[in-house]
Amino acid sequence: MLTFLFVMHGLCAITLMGAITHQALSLWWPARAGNANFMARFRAVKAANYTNAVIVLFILTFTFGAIVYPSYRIGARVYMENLKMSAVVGSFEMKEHLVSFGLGLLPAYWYFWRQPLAPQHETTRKLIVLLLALFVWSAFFVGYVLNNIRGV
Amino acid sequence: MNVSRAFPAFSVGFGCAYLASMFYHPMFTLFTYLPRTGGWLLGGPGGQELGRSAPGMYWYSWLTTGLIAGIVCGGVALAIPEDMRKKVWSGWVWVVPVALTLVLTYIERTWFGYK
Repeated sequence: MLTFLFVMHGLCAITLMGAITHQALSLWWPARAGNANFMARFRAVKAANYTNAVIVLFILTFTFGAIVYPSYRIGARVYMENLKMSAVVGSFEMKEHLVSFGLGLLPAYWYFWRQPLAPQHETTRKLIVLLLALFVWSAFFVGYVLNNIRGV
Repeated sequence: MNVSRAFPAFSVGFGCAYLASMFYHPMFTLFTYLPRTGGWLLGGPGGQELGRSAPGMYWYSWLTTGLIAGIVCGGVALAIPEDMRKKVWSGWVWVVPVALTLVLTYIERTWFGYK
C-alpha cells in the first residue's frame, strides 16, 4: 500500500509539474504567432484552462505526500541523519515548508484566476503562478534526489 | 455573501501562521504525531526531546495552525466593508510568500552549514 501511495505521489507530482510549467511558460514566455516548433506549441496554451487541474493535482500530490511522510521520518531520514547528510535532510525540511506555503496559496490562486479574469490583477496572477511553479519544481527536485539516496 | 472574497486573506494568514508556528515551536504546536507508534499527543514535546528513536512530527500541527489562522484572516476580510477591501493591494498575496520564503531560508540555513 505504501509503495502504491508513493508511486501515486510521484505520478501526481510529475503531472502537476507539467501543468504548472505549461501555465507559467504561457504567461512569462508567450508564443509568438507563426512559430510552430515544439517549445512554441508548449507555450501556446490558454493559461486559465490549467487552474483547476493545478489545484486538484497539488492537493492530490500533497495528500499522498502527507500520508507517506511518516515512513520517510522513521526510515530514510534516520538513515541520512546517521550518515550526517545534514544538507540533504535540510533540503527536505525546506521542501515540506515550501509546499505548505504553496498549499496556502491555492485559495488566492483560484480567486485571481476566476472567470472573467480581472485585468488589474494580471501581475498578481503571473507572480502567483511563478511562485507555485518554483515551489513545485524545487519540491520535485528534492524528492527525486532524496528518493535516489534512500527510497521510502 | 461572496465567501471567495476571503481567499486572498486566507492565503496570507495561512503562510504567516504556518511559519510562526514552525519558528516558535512548540509554543503554537497543537499536537504531535508519533510515527513509530501511530499515536498522537496533545501539544508539543513538552520540554522533553522525544529523541531520534521515537521522533515526533509537528508538521501536521503547523498546517492546522495555518488553517485556523487562515480562516480567521478570511473572516476578518469578509467583515471589512467592500470599498475598504478594494483599497488593499492584491500584490500582498505574492509579496508575503516571497518574504516568508526568504525568512524560511534564513531559519533553515544551519542545515547547510551556515551559522
